[in-house]
This record gives sequence, C-alpha cells and structure tokens, in this order.
Amino acid sequence: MNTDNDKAPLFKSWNQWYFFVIAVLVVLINLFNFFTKYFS
Amino acid sequence: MTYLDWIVLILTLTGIIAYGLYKSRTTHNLAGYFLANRSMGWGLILLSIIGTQASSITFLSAPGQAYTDGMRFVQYYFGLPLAAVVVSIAFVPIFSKLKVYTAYQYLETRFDVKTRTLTSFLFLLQRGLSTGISVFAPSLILSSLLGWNIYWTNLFMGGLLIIYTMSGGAKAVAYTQQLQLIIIFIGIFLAAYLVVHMLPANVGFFDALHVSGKLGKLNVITTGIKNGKFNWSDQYNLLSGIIGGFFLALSYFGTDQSQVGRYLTGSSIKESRMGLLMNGIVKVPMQFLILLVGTLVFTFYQFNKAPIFFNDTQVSKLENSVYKDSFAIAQAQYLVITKEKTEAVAKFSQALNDKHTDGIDGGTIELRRLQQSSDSLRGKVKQWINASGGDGNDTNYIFLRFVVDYLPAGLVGLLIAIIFLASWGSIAAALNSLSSCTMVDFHRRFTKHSITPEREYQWSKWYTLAWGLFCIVVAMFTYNIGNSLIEAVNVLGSLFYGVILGVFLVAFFLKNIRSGLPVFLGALLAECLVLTVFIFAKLGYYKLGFLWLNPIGAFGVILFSLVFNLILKTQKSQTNLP
Repeated sequence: MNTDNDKAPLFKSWNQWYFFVIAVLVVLINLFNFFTKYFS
Repeated sequence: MTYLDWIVLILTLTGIIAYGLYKSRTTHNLAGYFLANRSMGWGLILLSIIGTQASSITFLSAPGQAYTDGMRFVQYYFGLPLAAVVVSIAFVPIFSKLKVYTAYQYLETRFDVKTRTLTSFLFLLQRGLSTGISVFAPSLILSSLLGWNIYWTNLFMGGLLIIYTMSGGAKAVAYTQQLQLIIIFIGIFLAAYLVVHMLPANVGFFDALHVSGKLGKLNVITTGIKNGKFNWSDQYNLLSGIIGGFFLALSYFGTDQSQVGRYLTGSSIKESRMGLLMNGIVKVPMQFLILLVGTLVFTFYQFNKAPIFFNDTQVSKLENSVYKDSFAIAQAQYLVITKEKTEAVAKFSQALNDKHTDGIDGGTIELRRLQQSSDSLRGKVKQWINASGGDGNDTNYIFLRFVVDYLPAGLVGLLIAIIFLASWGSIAAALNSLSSCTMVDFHRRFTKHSITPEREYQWSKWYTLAWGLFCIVVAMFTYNIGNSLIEAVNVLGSLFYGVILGVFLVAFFLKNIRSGLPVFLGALLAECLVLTVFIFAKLGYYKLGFLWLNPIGAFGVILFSLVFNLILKTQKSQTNLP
C-alpha cells in the first residue's frame, strides 16, 4: 500500500471529509424524523 | 418455481462462479492471495465492504422487520458513519504503515504475542461459527418455502462459492461482490417497482406510504422513552443506535478481519479511507430503502389477503398439533378481519385522493383497530407455534413468501439467485479472513522453519477450503440442534466484539500502557464481565438489549487494563526499591 499518496480528494483536508460524513448523518436523522412525523 | 425461474437461477449462479474464476489470477504469495497485492481503488473497496456486511438475511430479514415492527431498525446503523470516521483516523494509517495482513498482527507489535493470539482466536471462534449459521439460515428459509432438501441446499449455499474463493482469494472475492451487488440491487428495485405496480389503480406510491405510516410502520426515528423513562431493553432507538451501534460498528470495521481484510486491499491510505467513508455515507440510506420495500409489501397486503403466518412448514405442523382447533377458529376470524381491512383501506385511499379530512381521520382509527385485531391473532398463532416446539418467528419469510406468491416467472428465479449471491458475498469474505488469520496469526507465526511464498500460497488455499468445509458442517449440525443455537450465535458477536475492540482502543489511545500483560488480563476479566451481564439478563434479573454488551466489553477492557497496569507498576517499583 502506498502510504505517501494520502491527500484527501475533493475537500482540502481529511478533517473536512470527516465533518461531511457526520453532517450527512445529522441531515439524514432530521429528514427521517420529518418523514416519521409527516406520515404518522 | 417454473422452468424459466430455474434457468435464470442456474445461469446467474454459474455466471458468478465463472466470473470469479476469470478474476482469480493473482500472484502466488500471501500479499496476492489475501490483499490482492494492495491494488484496489475505493469504489471496489466500498462494494466489497457492503457485500461483506450485507448477507442474504439482510435482504430477507430487513423487509420482514419493516413489515412486523416498522422501519425503526434503520437506527441500528446510525453509529456506522461515526465508526467509519474513527477507523479512518485511528486504525487505517497504523495498519497501512505496518503493512499487516491481519488486524491482530498489529497487537504483537504493540503488546505481545499472547494478546495477538487471544484476539485472533476469539475472532476465529465467533466468525467460524457465525459463518456456518450464515450458510444455514438462508438454506432453511429456501428449503421451507420451496420444499428443497436442507442438506443439499446447505451444500450449494456454502459449497459453490468455495470454488472461486479458494482459487482467487481476496481479488476474486472483491470482483464477484461487485457483480453480485449490481444484480442484487436490480432485483430489489424490480421487486419494489412491482409491489407499487400491483397496488389498486387509484393507489400510488405516496398513498401506500400514507397507509403504512398511519399503521405505524414508518416509525424511522424512535426515542425509546416509555412513560417518561428510557427503556433499556428496547433494541432499536436513536440512543441505542448511535451509542451501541457505534461500538458494534467500530469493532466490526476496526477489528473484524472479514472487514479489515477488505480495506487493506486498498492501493493507498486514501483509497482505504474513501471506501470506508463512502460506506458511512451510503449505508444508512441503503438500509432505509430496503426497509421501505418491506413497508410497501405491508401496504400491498392491506389490499390483498396476507397469510396469518408466513412459514408454511410451521403452519402444517400447527395443523397437526393440539392447537389445530384453536388455529382453525383463528384463521376464520383472520379472514373476516382481512375482508373488513380491504374495504376500510379502499375507503381510506379514496378519502386521501379526495383530501377528505374526516374520512382520513375516521379511516385511520378504523384501520388501526383492525390492524390491532389482526396483530393479536398473529400473536396467538405465534404463541401456539412456540408452545408446540416450532419457531414462532416468521420475519425472515415475509418478503420471500411475497416473491414466490406474487412476482412473475423469471423474477422469482432472479430473487432466489439474489439470496444465494448475497450469502456468497459475505461468506466468501469470511472464508478469506478466516484463512488469513489461520495462516498469518498461527501457521506462519508458530512454524519454526520458513517456507517459500509459493508454499504459503498453497497452504492458504487449503485453509480456505478447510474453513469452507467447517462452515458447511456447522450448517448441517445446526439443523439437528434447532433454533436455540441460532439465537445463541446471533448474540455471539456482541459477546466478543466489545472485548476485542477494547484491546484495540487500549493499543491506540492508552500509550502509557506498554506491556501486554495488563491488557491480556483486562481482556479476560472484561470477557467474564460481559458473559456475567449477559447471563444475568438471560436469567431475567434485568432487561438489556444485546447492543449494550459492546460498550460494556470495550470500557471493561480499558478500565481493567488501567487497573492492572497500575498494580503491576506499583509492584515493580516496590521490587526495585533498595
């Protein structure tokens, strides 16, 4: 495995990727909450 | 099954085996066989991670779970994206830097050989048994629904994939998983489309959602709070999903070789990280969509007669038991309720189309009343089946029963092929990981004389075959023992995962613990604690969902390791005193 080629794609750093993954989860939970309430 | 179904089934399965063999060419050494020469891009890693985690039970059980309990099961996966982030930060760089073949190899570098051997052994024990069950569980469902011989089904379910897994190792596993997932998603999408298509003409997709929503099946987010108190025995809610699910996913992706082996195939840290993080993004919506198929099947059965119990084998047994008269009465009552429900749901759909508020409210109350009566009758039937020594849980049968009864010829064969493919994807990865641990953590570690890379490669192929045969034997043996063992093996993961994770967390984050003895003793004591907590919960002293065993095991190892480290340091300093 090449350990040198570790630059994050699309974002400037890996931290931004981690933040993005967690943000997607938060958005999904909120959408699911809305979905639950809307159809109940 | 029609001839067309058989043709589709046989062509799909032989096609996958041929593709696996075609992709089998790799270098004859351990890096080629277990890590595909560390050459994979993130897309292939992502599909391999998904294919390893999603077994046939995922595709059978999840829609059934949504049918009976609603969509709240999706919360089980909320901890996964958080775990993907932690594994990307802490685990991937270290595994990559040390160029390990197995996760447990790292523990010898960090602590000592006994800690490595203990964790690798715990992994082999639980993964070997659970893979045997992964062969047996879908075989049992197919043999019950289609009247196939269980032993032959076990043999085909667990045996055919050995051909390409043994031949091509990690590379063949990854490439076949890619093709398998494409076929699986096409099949599931077609099934979902046909469910909506088979609803009455005036009922669309959103109307179907309204029906299942009003009947409590779209309960994606639940708090687990009942009468103002948090219910610790509730398996799936927001808190248990985020915390318990996080620890389970962290142990699974960080320390289970069947997953670690997937992302170690990455050509760089970047590819491994991207595979894991993309899985963190797509897994939750993917599970949501699979569960949604289950709610659509539920709505379909509001307009059509649903079986009172979805496993015909158990129904036949009940009809010959002491409960046969009670069952006949229940069936007659169920038929009346079904008729009333069909009329009520048609009125409700009309009110939805007319946007008639009173009709919607009144229809909701009536539908919920009928659903309660229907659930109560199903509950009684399940009790009678359990009381007469059968399996009263038909969750895994619901989706496939619908497929066999209602989907057109050809598609039935495709969906049955999908059950095989989903099983093969996860079993193949498990065999590859079991073989790699046996070869790297035991054979190579404890053999005194060195052997050539070619011989190591040959040995690894034989270990893959041996583990494949072991899993088939477990599957055959499980059938004779019955359902109690299946339940035991289902919680087996949570009994060991937390402790294995705890060892890795100490290794990564508690740098002041340098020797292996405190961790080794801490892991043994934490395992005793987890087993004690589990046994007392089973004996009924308290109620506890099995997901909570993961954080208990992990924190147990951390706490006990710190205590043992302190004791051993104190003893050492006292011994060194003049």
